[in-house]
Amino acid sequence: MINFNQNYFQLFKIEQSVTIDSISLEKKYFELQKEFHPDKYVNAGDHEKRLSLQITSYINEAYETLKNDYLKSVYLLKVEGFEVGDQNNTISDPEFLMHQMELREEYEKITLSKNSEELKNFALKIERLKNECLLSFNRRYEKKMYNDASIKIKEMKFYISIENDFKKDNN
Amino acid sequence: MALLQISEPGKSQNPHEKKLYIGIDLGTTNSLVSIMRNGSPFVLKNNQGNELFPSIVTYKQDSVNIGEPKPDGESITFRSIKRFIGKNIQDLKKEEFYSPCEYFEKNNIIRFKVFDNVLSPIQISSEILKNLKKITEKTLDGEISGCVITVPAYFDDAQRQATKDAATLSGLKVLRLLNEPTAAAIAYGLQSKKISKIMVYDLGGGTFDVSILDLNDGVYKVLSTGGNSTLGGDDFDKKIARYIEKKLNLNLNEEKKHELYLLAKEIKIMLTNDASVKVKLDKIGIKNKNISITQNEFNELIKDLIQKTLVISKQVLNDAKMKIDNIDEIILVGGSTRTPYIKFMIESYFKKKPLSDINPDNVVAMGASIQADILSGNSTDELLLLDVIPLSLGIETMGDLVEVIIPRNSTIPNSSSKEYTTFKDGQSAMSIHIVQGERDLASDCRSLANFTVKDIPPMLAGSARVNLEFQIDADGILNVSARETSTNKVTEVQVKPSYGISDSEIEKMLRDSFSNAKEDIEMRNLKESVVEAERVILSINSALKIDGKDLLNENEYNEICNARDNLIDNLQSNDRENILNSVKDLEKISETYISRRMNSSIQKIMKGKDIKEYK
Repeated sequence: MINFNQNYFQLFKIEQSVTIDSISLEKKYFELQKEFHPDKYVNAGDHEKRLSLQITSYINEAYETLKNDYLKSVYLLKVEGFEVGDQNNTISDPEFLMHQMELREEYEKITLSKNSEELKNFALKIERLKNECLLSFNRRYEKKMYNDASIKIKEMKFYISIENDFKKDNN
Repeated sequence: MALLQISEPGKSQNPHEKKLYIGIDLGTTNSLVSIMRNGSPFVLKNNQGNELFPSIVTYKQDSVNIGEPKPDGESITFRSIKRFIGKNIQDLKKEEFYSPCEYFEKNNIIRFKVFDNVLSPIQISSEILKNLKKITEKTLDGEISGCVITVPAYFDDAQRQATKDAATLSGLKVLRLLNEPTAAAIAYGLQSKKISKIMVYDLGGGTFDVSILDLNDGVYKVLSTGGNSTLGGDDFDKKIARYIEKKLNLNLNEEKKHELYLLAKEIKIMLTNDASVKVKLDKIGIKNKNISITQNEFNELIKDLIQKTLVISKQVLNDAKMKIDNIDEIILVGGSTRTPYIKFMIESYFKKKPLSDINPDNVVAMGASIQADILSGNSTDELLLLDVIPLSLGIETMGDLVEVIIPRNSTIPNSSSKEYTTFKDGQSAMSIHIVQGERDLASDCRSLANFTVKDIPPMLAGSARVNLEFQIDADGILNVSARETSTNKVTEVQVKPSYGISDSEIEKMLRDSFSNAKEDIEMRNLKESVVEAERVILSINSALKIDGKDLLNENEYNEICNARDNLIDNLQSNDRENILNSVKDLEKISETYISRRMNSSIQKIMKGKDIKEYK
């Protein structure tokens, strides 16, 4: 039925790349779901039901990974044999550390001020920095500089966390 | 298996016979049943021509009744049992709740003392379903093969599990639990559109529920859901009642208060079509006095409540990462959406005229029956539903914190695994607490299950590995398995959240240690083989009774009887292999008999008929 050992790109039959056409990915995703979803196996035997459950869980996991820039980047490196673990997540570049602290300070200040214009601009700024970070990851990945690319993933994670805090505090 | 084909001569099953599949909207105040007739959903009516079956269960000393009871002071009536399902007392205390009798908590669920019995909300809900089943089967003169039951989109794991258990208890086979908003969208047949984003606004008697659905090429996906389980049309009634009470400076006893409340409901319904109403107050014991209320007054009363629903709707829209103008359709569900002011507020807020052509009370049940038809294979519709989990699932970590394992709004089915390790040298057990919710502290979330992984081999801290796997099925129900992987010996234990029917069974499962898991599987296999064997014995006995003496000579007859008796003896052996072998022996010996039976039944059918009919 489905080979659980193939990677997510193989599963969706799309090229392994930093840029994925989200429309064709979604189309492939729906095709697979239509074939394997438990709704199609309501009257099937227990074994088939279980298999359908496992396969669709796998398809969902794959789709959610490829759809999300951060998760996709981590996964791309994983396929190349570079695990970006949760543990070793410290950024050692002093310059970025400074940048990180500055942004956090700015964030605290703006959150306290509650100035809606400033809040909006800050959100846009984080968004821009995150996108730059992603583009930089993509370039390094395409040049097969996986070690350097993994640094960008850690930076991306920082932007995502500040973004999440921002959303939580200002909703 | 040959014996599977034994059937009464002339009574062979017609493979083309359509089985009966139904959709059930199991509501807080009312429940509905819908079936498919000639490809269209059709809502069943009761004797009085009413489509709404009250979700009211009344217990007397020795009987159970469904529907509005006559007050007699000696019965116990549950009016909105759905509010209690899958909940413990702590959950319930977060809301206002009323219990008609004494209650207590056992195994994390509330229990009611109903005369000499102790009943759970699952058992009480099952009475509602039993009644629906009975009425449906009587009306349609057939047995229900399966059903789709709708649940609010925000129902958590425990509530879904409990609903399914109630159905099982009532003898219904559940094909799927379906989210109410999704059912509504199906009823509107919006899948005929290629791509669209749909908001379902569902305001029932006691609950509010809003969901954003994404429809893409025949695939429905719930993008986000939210709601409030204590906000509904009943609150409108309360507002009107309080308004009258205050305006006329009334001081009513409980009984009269209830009458006033019912009167308020009438006023509300009348205000759907009339700009103002005037009613007599005789019913609440005030003679020769009228009260008139205008639609404007009513609108003012409920404005806050409606605003509340719009704020929630906006939040749910944000969760789906969408803006107001992304919405293509808004569907109105629930009797309360008949209120003109709601339509007006929604239209002005979302700048879109909501759909309300289908009876908002029926729409969910209708969608459920369409889905049941598709799942059963009766329909050829290519519709596929992709659902999401409404609340994050996680486990409690050190310091009462929650580590999210599967975030909310993840598409289901979904699975995820996490590895944990020991933090003390020689640690031999690990206690796991599974919670559901969005709060940071585990104690603020819904507790789903507690269990202990035992018999971890003594090792240095951080060396043992326990892998936890979460698997959510298409109904949104969770299964957790724990696996100790640091040694070669791998054991597994399945833990279902402890809200099932037989608590003692589940409790035992939770208590059972790691090492018992293998025995559990063997035990289950053994039980299955016994059930299978008993079925075979039963069918051979009934066949022999009918035509054994006619079709078999004495020798053959005895041989089959001996094989059967041998199997009966072996049933007690507790040896699965032994049982399976005896079943096989019996089947082998019966082969000739079975083929003779089939021939004879064919001859019986053909007898007296013109040969042309078989061409």
